[in-house]
Amino acid sequence: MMAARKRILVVEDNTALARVVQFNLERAGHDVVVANDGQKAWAVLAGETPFDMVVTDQQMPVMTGVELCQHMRHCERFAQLPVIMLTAKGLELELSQLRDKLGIAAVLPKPFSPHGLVEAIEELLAAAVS
Amino acid sequence: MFRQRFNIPLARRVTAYYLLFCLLTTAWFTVGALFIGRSVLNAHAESDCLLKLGRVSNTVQLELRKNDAANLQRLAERIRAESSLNYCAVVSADGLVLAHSNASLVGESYQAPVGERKQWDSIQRVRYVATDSQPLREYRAPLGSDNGSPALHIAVAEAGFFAPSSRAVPHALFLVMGAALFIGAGALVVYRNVQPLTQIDAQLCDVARQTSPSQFTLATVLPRGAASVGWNRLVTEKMTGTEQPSLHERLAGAVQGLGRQKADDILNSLADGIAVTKAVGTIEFVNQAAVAILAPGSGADALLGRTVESCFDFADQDAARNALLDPQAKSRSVVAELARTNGGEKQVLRVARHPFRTADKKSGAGFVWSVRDITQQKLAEKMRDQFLDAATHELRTPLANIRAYAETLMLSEVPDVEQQKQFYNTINSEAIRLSRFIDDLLSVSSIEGGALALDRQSVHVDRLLNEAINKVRPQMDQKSITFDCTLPEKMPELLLDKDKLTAALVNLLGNAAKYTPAGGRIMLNVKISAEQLQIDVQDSGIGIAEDELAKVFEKFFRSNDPRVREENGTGLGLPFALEVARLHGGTLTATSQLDKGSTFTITIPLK
Repeated sequence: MMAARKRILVVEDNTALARVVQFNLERAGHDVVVANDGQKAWAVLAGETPFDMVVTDQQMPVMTGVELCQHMRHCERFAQLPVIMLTAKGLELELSQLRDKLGIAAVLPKPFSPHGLVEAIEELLAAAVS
Repeated sequence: MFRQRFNIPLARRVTAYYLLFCLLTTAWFTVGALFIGRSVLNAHAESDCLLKLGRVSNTVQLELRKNDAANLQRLAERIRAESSLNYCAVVSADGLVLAHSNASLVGESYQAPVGERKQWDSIQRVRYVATDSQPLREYRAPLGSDNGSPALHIAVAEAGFFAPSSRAVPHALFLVMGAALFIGAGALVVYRNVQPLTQIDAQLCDVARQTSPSQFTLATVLPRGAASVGWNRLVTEKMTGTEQPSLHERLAGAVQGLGRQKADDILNSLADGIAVTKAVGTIEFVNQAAVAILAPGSGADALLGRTVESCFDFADQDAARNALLDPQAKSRSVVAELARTNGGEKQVLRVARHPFRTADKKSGAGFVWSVRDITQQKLAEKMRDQFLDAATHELRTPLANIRAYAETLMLSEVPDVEQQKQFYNTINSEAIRLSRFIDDLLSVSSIEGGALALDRQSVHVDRLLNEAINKVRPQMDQKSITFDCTLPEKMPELLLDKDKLTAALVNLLGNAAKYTPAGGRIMLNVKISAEQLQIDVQDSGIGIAEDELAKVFEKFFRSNDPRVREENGTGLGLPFALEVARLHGGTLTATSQLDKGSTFTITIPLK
């Protein structure tokens, strides 16, 4: 059975990085929408079509990744939406806190492997379905 | 964990072991010497006897030749008496006793004794025990050369175990006394050397028994020898803050001895604020620094008589309050950091409270407070943390791109050749970006370390300017920014550090390009007079707000303007350029109008 195409929101202020992530995710058979900061991402989320996953950077202007997550979790609609965080801060963020308080399923420190990111996404999507 | 066996003081224990082993050694040697002496003496005795045998044998043979057997009996008795023999006998070849000092045995057949035998040619010796339990040695020698001649038997009492030994006793006594003297002296020396370590050892054993470091109690010992002095130094160093007098206490103590005026002078010269509260809790003394920190603009009277609590604002700072105002910790020093509003300005203070002891070492007489304004330090730390955040981001972002694009090219098929080229391009430019950032970091660390030094050479100013312009040209072209250059006609050679000045200029031009929107304008104006070199970089960009203008030259400072935050920057370019100008003996200044543009001016004196 072929997996349905999932909709993934990529939030990243570095355009080059966003582009390569989009390339890899589309390669893996998903639909990707890119937003350059937390606020734009929020606007996209609020739109009609639902998303299956959010992949977001942490340090962004206007609204950070953590702030975006907080907004999401306070909203009924996105409380369960799986989130993966990419961050240049690496392991300085409290992983357990992120997981418990914000429901961030995985944190990938930069520089990350796009391959690894795709695998993590597949895993989480499979888990979400079951 | 450690057995209580070692309750005996170290010195005594060591000396006891020493004496024990010395005694064992001495006993061993003594017994050995006795044995050796005994064997030597026995050997002597043996040869003595053989000599005796020879002499007696000659005498008897002479007598036999002269008078035959007539006087043999009397001779035997006489010989026995003269030579201190047990008995002396002449026995015929057939075993008949011809003469015997014990007259009753004459004419009897001779009973050969049974025992350990030894033979030297024709002489025999037997060791046996006589009927009266006396150990004897009997020597037998033939009295003629043929088999029919009689034999002479003499017997000597075997020396008892102790007899030869007893002869050695005076010598032995002398040796033993000498040994005892040396051992005793050794014990004394050992004891005296180890004695100073006894207390140290006892303390260490105590420490071994404690379960937690807070129970460690170490004390200084009487200084006797290098080890105890070293121990005392260690204890003083490690235990400061527990029972040792702090700097402030010692200072207060020393100061008390110096008289009031000198005391005030010393205390007023300190940079830290010092306050003293007596047992009642009100401030009795403040130095100038304390007034400057806590009540600037007022005098000491603003603080004297107040409680410490009233000088600080402990609201919402429970941890600090509990630490500093803890009534339980009367004999310990405590330190805490506090925030405080000083007439509108926010301060961060490091406050320490030390118990103040009177001359007779009783604590509870009051407290010595030290106050240090660490606002600047905290600010610097905050800026450094901000910088580290920015730096890690600036380092990891290009790396993330390099890795992601490289891996994608490796693992996925990128069918579109144009796209492939784009990917390679991105990797390349990100690598260059990373390299430039690292250069920035390194120049800044040279500023920090004061390692930035000038390498003045004779430089063609036009070449310097061209190099800088060419580096920034691509950025300007990309944003379609017009670039105007006004240069003097004659561009001389000047003594400058070409590399650093070029880098500084690239910084200024680069900033202009970064913060000027597309289609804007940048002007470079160079004026060279006899006295100075002046370079103006003017742009039509986003400008700098008035309240930030002074701060742009601070390390790591980045404006809060979102248009600035959008661009990549570390806040290091301008401080670097400023330092370069300063090293040349000149200045770097800035004027600006928000949303209109900025002008940066480097001036370098040429005399």
